[in-house]
Amino acid sequence: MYARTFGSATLGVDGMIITVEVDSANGMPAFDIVGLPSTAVRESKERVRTAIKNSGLRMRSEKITINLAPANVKKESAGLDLPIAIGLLASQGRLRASICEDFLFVAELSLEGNLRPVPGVLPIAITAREEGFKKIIVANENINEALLVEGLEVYSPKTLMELVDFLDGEIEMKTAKPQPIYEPEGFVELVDDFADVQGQFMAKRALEIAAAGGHNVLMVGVPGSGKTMLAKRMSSILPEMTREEALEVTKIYSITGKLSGTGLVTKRPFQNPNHDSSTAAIIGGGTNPTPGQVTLAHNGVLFLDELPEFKKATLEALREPLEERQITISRVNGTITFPSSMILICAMNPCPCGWSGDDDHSCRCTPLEIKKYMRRLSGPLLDRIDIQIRVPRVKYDDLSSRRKNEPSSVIRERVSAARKIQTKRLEKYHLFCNAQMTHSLIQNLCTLEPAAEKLLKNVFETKKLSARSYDRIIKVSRTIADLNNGAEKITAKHIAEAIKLRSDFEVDA
Amino acid sequence: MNNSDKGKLGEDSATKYLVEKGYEIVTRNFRIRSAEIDIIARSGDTIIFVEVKARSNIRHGLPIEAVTLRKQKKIIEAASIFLQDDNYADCACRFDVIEIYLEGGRVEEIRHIENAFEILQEG
Repeated sequence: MYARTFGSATLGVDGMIITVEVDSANGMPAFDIVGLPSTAVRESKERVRTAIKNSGLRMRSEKITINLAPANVKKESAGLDLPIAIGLLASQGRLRASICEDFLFVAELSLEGNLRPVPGVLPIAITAREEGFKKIIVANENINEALLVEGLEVYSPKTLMELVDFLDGEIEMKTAKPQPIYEPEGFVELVDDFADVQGQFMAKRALEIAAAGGHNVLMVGVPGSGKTMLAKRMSSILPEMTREEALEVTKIYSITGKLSGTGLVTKRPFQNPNHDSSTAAIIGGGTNPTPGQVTLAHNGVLFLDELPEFKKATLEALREPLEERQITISRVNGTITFPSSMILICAMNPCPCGWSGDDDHSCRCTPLEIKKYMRRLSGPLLDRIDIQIRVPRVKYDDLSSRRKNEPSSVIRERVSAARKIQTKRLEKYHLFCNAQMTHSLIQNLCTLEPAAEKLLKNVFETKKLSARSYDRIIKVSRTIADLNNGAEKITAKHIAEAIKLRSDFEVDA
Repeated sequence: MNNSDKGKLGEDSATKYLVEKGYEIVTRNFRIRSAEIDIIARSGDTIIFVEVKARSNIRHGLPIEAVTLRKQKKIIEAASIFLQDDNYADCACRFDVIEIYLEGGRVEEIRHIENAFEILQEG
């Protein structure tokens, strides 16, 4: 007999509904899965068969053929165990086939017959709702994720047997409730706060501006000056994520299996890959493309410490995600686009030994060494970094002072206010922060006061700036003006600060 | 008692065992050019192909372990030829193994493994 159930797999960051067709007929006993199953799916036949047996259900040994449609996409999910098991029971007359078609089944099976969680439940649930499913069956650990999607009835039986009884109508089952998230007792979460950073006022100001306008930052400083400490606190001053943004981040975490029973991710991501990471780990890749660090940092911060130590190819590959705010990965198996809208924060030493430009230490590097070191950073990459500053060594007085610093929450309020002004201005162009403005938008939206114009002209001519630097200075000064209660026109003061942030450290490429 | 005697004894006792359990014996020692099926039995609409393995000790492994993949393929080949007979075209079928443990020329224990193997998916 023939039966049909619905399961799902993931493709990129989206869910995909898979129709599982099961036919069980007389003939030589066999168990075939067709329709481009991956190894995990192919192995599911052993799990399904054993789970059915150990649940106390009988499965006749017949010629069983399972087809996964659409047949042209490689199925990458162990979550197909459950729809295959239910389809099998329906095809052998143990379950009413018509009832089984109302549900979307998303779970792996243990040999014992228990339901196990799978990655990617959130995007699958979103797709399910879009395709008109009303009821979804998931494992206990996936409840919180599935419940993020409104308008779906979520059921979570513990075992296959419980599910069979429910589908038979023998037992009632309530829709699942959000699961409490257990945290170890006495666990105090350490929150990185800007109040911890002594001194470094300019760097703090620069990061505030970067957060407000979505600008990328390069910090150049001697070892131990606090670059890493500053960068780690960046996500604490970014405005709270909107529900939309939080869902996007949760989707990515869901696909990569980084959610463990938790629901919505509300903290902005902070990714800090080691400089030895491969290009595929940073950008995303693999035979079946998986998201890389740029995608995991979506709507958050990507921090590259020791920037020149990264492989050149890796750094160059960052250009696309920085420009397009998404990354397209092409492999033989298909082309997949992942979102990657993040703020890039980079840190580096001014030279190989680290002390060039410091007042109290002498640099041991030859000019050639420094030149070689700097040459690892290409012009096009540096070009995408609006703010480039020096982070000097902290003075003893600053370090030992008991002065209360401004906490992150206060800075965040200012940042959020500035973001609101930008959103209002840029909404009709589908942009959300100043860093995304193009040259023509800058011409239209940024008006300079005459004094500001004059100052910029002066600097432009004396410093022999490029057209690119010109745009960048105006973009950053626009953000500064937004932070300054949303001043309509950019004043000379704003321009002056932007110039300082732009050229505090000139990379001699 | 030599090995072929042991095999004969095993097959006879397996047949007796199946009859006692209510199976109908269709044929014994069904032979094609390259393979043989020890017993073909029938229960309701199901045709059962039985391979009998007798052992007097397990120094060289359990009886069922002697039904290797190669042997399974041969049995499956023979079974598909048997099933071409129109009388059995609509039947379900099953591959069983019956293990016979011998002790001093007597049958000590019979173990019946239903659904011992099935057709493997290519690739």
